[in-house]
Amino acid sequence: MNWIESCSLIALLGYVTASVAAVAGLLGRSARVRAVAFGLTGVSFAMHSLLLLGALTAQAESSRLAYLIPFAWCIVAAGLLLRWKLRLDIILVFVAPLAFVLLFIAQVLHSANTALPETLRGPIFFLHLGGVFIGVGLMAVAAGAAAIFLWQERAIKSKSPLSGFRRELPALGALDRINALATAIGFPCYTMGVLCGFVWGRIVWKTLISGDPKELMSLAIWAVYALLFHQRQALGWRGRKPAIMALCIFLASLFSLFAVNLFLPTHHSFATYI
Amino acid sequence: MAHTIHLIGLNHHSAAVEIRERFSLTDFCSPTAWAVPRGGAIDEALILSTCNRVEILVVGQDDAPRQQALACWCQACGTGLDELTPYTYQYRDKEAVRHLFLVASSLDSLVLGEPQILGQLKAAYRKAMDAGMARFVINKLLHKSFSVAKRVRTETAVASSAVSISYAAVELAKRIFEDMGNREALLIGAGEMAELAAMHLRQAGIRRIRVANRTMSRAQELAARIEGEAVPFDRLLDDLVDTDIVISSTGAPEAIIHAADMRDVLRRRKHRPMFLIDIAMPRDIDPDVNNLDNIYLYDIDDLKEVIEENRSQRREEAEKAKGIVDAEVDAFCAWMHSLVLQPTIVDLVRRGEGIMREELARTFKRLGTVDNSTREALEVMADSLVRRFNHAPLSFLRAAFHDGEEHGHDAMRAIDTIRRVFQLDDEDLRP
Repeated sequence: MNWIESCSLIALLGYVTASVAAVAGLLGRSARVRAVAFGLTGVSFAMHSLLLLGALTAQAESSRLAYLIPFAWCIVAAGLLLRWKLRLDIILVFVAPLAFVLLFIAQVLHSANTALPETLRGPIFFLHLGGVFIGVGLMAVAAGAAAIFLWQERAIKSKSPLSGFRRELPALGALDRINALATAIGFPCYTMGVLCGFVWGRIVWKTLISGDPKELMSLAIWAVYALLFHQRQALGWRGRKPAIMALCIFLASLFSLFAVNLFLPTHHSFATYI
Repeated sequence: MAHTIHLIGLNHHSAAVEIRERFSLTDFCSPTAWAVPRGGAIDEALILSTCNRVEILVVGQDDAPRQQALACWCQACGTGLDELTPYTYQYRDKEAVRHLFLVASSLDSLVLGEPQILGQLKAAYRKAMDAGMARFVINKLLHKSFSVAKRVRTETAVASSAVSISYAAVELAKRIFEDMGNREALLIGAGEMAELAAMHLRQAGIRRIRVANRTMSRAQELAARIEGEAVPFDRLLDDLVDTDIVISSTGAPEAIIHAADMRDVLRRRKHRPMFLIDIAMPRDIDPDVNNLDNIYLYDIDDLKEVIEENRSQRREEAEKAKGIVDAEVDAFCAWMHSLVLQPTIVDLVRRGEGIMREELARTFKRLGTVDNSTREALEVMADSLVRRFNHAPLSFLRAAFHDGEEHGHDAMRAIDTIRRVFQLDDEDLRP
């Protein structure tokens, strides 16, 4: 086992333990256990960073630069940022398991191990990938908060008893704040990422828009993202509608990441590279 | 146990309210009028007397403290023993500790999990201390019962859900708004229930409370009582724009707030969420309002349902809490038990130290002048010899005590063995 594999194993174990600790800390109302979950996520994130670094510096033969590794990394980065800013431990309850699942799939899907081709290197590529992934990562966190918001909100609206897990959840206002901050940071990042994609496409393939399915998909996602951003900033939208939009954005991104990449012809398919 | 703990008392289960009044000791638990004095069989005592219960905790040797406490109780109330005893329960040792822990954790209360009892118990403990009645065992026992109560409170939900309407409303508000300190409330109508809810909101730290009422003077009266401000009734919709929590309790024959109004209000307040509580009958707020996004409307029936749900939840949680209490009772009884060991351990250690000092003095005398480092080395050696020698009998004692926790006689036999083998009782512990 080389050091990259050790890192990924430690990160996987860390994320799964952090997931358990986050839920246990919430249900057991123990701030200490929740702090352990936060610490474990931080340690796993450090390992995850090393793994990413190893993959990027292309220890070519053994690298596993499945796009899921940077994608999961961005989700955890977004989660840790929001957890730190908002002091809401609930974020770890969905970020840690999500990171674990994505990283696990990345380990299984690593069939081909090839380094990135020369054309796909350079600052614009990283801005493109980084911007889009951070934007989607923040929406992943917002979507987790949104799912919990919608579930809890329906109970409060319909006056059903708030028992068990529901009783331990933060106030609706707190969950909405996750969505607000994620949108405020995420939309500019995503916009930059998409723009860089087009600029980069112009440089490499000499066309601005190539009609690639993934391009169209991300434009559609961008439109919903823009609407969410605008309604929040200008009209002060809160609560249910922004929650539903965040969920849609994240689910569409997942669809675009898995379904489009695997089943449609696209130059975004890393299958040709990895 | 060297100390026997007795708890005698009566509560809402064992006696009706007239009986509880008759045997109340409220006037007999201050340092100046203390119903259960020390002396005779009683070493320590504590009296808790509230409208729901009387609990007398006494510590002493064997059964005598119980009889003495009962006699004192009768004397304080001017009744005979046979009149009192049918209504009392009397616990001893483990059962007494368990009952005290249940009382402290509010698991024996009429309203499960109600918070007052712990404060009352703390006050009773303070009075016992002032009267000089709380000593070694009661100190430890009461401190333990406070920590058990805290554990029950934090580890179970027995006290976490509201069981009164106004409190349930505040609890719900906390589920909606993250931070109550920045919220503003508006009371529409100046009823009694609104006042109660306003008090709870104040306790929850709400920033500002306004009162709107058709009769301005009544609004002003209520506003003065709850440190709020009165606002004119005809500007209601404008006031709603910067109100987060509304408590409505007017006597209006039909709804005074409609969905169409609220849609406008919401837009003007940029969709910040609102919590509307309608405790009027007939209702003040059109139920359709609840269909709007970011508005949560609860009427009196909804709140009643929440409370009923919470009550049954508390009963379930109480079962969990009893598990915690049982574990803590065992731990406390183990500590009580270990008190039996203390004198023997002290004797044994003191005996060893005596021999050590004696032998050292003799050695130094024989050696004549010795330099400090030699002296220190000899002392250290002698000390560790004694320690190592004592280690075996001490662990034997502790082991016998742990194994024999349930059957006191094992521990007693071990103590007896050690005392005889080391002749701890033979001579007057020669130094």
